[in-house]
Amino acid sequence: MSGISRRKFLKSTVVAGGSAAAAMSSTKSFAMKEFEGYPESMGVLVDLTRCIGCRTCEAACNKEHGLPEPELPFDDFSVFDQVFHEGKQKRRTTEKAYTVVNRYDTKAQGAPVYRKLQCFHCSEPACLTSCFVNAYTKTKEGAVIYNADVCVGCRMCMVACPFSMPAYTYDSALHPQIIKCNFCYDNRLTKGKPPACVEACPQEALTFGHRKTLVKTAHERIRSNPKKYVDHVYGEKEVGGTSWMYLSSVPFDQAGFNTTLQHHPILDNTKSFLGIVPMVLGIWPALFMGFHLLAKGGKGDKESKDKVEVHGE
Amino acid sequence: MKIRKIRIITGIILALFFISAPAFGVDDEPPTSVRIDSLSHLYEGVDFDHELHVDIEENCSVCHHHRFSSEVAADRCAACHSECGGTFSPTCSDCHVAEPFTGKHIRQMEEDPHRFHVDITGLKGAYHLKCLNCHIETGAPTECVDCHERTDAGNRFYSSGKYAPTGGKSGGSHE
Amino acid sequence: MKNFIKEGFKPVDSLNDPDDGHQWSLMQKLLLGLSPKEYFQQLRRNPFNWFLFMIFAVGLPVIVYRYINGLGSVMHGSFDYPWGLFLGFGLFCMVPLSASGFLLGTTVELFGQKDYKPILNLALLNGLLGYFFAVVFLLVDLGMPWRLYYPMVISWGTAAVLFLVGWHVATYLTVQVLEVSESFFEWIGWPTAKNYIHKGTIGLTVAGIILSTLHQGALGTLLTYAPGKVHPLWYSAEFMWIFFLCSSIFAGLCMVIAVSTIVKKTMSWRCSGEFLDNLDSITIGLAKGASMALVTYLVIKIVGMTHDNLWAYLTTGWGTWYLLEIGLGVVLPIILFSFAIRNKSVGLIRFTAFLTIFGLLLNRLNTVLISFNWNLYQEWPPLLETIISVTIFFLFVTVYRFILYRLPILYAWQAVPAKELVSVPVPEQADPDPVQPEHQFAKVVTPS
Repeated sequence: MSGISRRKFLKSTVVAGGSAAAAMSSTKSFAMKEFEGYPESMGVLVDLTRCIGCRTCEAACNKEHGLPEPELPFDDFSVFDQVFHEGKQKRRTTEKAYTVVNRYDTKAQGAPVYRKLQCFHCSEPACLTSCFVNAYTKTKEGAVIYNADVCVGCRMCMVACPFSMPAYTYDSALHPQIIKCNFCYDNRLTKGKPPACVEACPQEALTFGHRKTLVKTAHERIRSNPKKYVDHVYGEKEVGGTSWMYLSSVPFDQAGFNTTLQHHPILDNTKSFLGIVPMVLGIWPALFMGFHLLAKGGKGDKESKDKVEVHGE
Repeated sequence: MKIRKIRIITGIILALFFISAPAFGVDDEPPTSVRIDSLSHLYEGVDFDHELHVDIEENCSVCHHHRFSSEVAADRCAACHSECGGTFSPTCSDCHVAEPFTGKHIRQMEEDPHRFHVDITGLKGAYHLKCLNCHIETGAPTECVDCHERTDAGNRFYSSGKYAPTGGKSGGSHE
Repeated sequence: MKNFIKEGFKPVDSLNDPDDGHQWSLMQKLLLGLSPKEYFQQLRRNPFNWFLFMIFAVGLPVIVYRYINGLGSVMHGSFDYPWGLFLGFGLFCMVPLSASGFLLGTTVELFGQKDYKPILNLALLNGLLGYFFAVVFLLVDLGMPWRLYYPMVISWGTAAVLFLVGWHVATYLTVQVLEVSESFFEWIGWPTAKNYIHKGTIGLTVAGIILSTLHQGALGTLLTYAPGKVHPLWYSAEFMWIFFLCSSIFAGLCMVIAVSTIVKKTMSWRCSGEFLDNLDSITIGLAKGASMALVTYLVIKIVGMTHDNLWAYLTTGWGTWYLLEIGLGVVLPIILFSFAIRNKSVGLIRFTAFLTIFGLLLNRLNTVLISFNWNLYQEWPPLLETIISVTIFFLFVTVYRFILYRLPILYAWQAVPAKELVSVPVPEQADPDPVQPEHQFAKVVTPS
């Protein structure tokens, strides 16, 4: 509830200028509450200790969404050795793959750690809040879905995504669009079925359920097995919470996670600017008209007085 | 009043349970082989050599939470189930459901506030977590096809075998 | 062109031919009063035109190629660097450099500093063209440019900062078109429309300040969507909009100095005496404003660094790069400006203005491209992307020059009273009378 209203509030700050006073007062009432996400939001808990790197989720995703044939079979594990940009990047989501699994050879553990990557389906998604045509929707089921019909192709969402998940069909001249995991929203989520990757995972490394419940489950797993897990649920707090969360046995930065992310929504970063919008819209006209009248009045009607110095700029 | 009623009903149910208990516990001998194929689709079913595994590991509780006609062994379970008298079925699929993530099942699990077992894996997860973790630890075979053959549907699913894209090698291993 | 001027030719600067009082036709105005033959003669003679021709010969086909084969054919098509030069240079650099319009508008129209009147039109035009070409860059960069109006009409993403940028740039562009249209109406000969627009000058100027304050800042705020991707030294959630707004002030002023320098060097024939006579003192004034903004910028940069406690980053390689940017683009200009202003050394001011612009370009490219994904990997725009960017930039230069040659931007439109309106244009001016150059030095007609 509060989240919806808050987003609406921010909308009003951007659009409205006239109702500056009203918008200012609503800042106070909503700033107190933090957005906790939709109560019925679904989520997935990824337990990296269970993942064996079989890439079945990748295959399931590919078939579910009718994505292009892969370059290599899904049971070709040489892909884990692929690195790009002088070894600085492992495989990532592309316009042909909503999800990829990467292998991380950590020092702490003998066995490698595998990590599945896909859209995290943030509770307060940066892609959504940065999109100027509202092409994204956070559904009440928790999925962040994209509407190509209104997309202009500015790729702001790709810049804004803290996980760099969205891909883009750059090669399409006429209808390029963002490609990203949609939580199997249309075909499965709305029909009471889990996402294809979750259903396919042999190890049940992916646990599907209400996000609320999954947070408890995650902490319970850590509590009952403190030696096995790092005491952190990645995605519980990151960028204001994500629907996809992770448990790991190795420190998260060793498994390729960005551990420097802020714990409040990305949207909050724009607040200090959006706060001045009503002020500028409301006060500037009067202020500068006042300056103008002062300047005019002081000089009289003739502009013949010569002054060499400049004021300010 | 109400509480007494509940007690009576519970008593009757418990009585019924104990009466029927011997019926479950008659066959005390473990099976020699188990065909695990209830989920087979991408892979064939597994002919599980139970006897072989019994030879390797005599302690049943390594794999089963409990077995027929025996007390619950694990401390964690015994806290509540010490007096069940070995009446629960040791078959995985009796507790681990095939489709743990349907909307209906998730709701069922969440709507019961007294439920202790909330983080139960589904059947597929239970099989693989139990078998594979042990195989990894003991150095037993760990590739998928070591235990079950891939079906034609499976090859199509993985874009492998005759469905492999040109240039790719299929059926790779993690080594 | 200079050769014609030497021969005594006088380009069109009024509605009617001063010799016989007939009204210039549109074609004659476009050709500056030269015959088509003479016009192409001077076109061929200027080596800069050949330079432009070569750039367009290479660049325009590449632009066509981009629309046929998609963005991926000219850009890296990187998912980690969604924005390249088109936005990094075209939007993020062109917009601050075009802040001149609202700055001089405010100074002259609102604060009544009439000393800057001679350069006002140039500042307004600089603003208009800068924004217009930022939009042109956008049209190249957008995946589906034909949907540019979508955020206006089809679907409103009202919570987004980009929505604000889009609307404000669009509105401000309209405001600037109206502001510059005064000169256009004068040139085309619709005084009624000109006077009508002129009545709204104050309103337009105030609108300009509001829109500029907001979207210059909003461009900076766009980067706050990407914390962690932009290097901490270039990032600040709280100060980003102030950094961008403040730097746009000195960028806009220095751009006016730079453009007026080029104009003075290359097309003094088109400048009125008033413009040329006052340019030096105006330049000094602009430099004072710019150095003021530079000092403010440096101060808030330091405040921002302290606020986010970024001092430790200065010892890294990125820190060195950052110090180079601040040193060359901010500190050195402050020193040079203050020295030059004290000694009234206009030449040094002009050099410093170019240096400051370079510093600003470096800052914007650092923020949007170079330090972006600093902990991932670096990527430099490929050749075709660079070619397109250069092409559009020189398209900007060409249009800029085209308008400066014609509209009364650098000179004042001569209010020669139309004695008799001759409807039939004179076919060919065989031998225009040599007119004394002094004739151009007419008093500016300042509509009160």
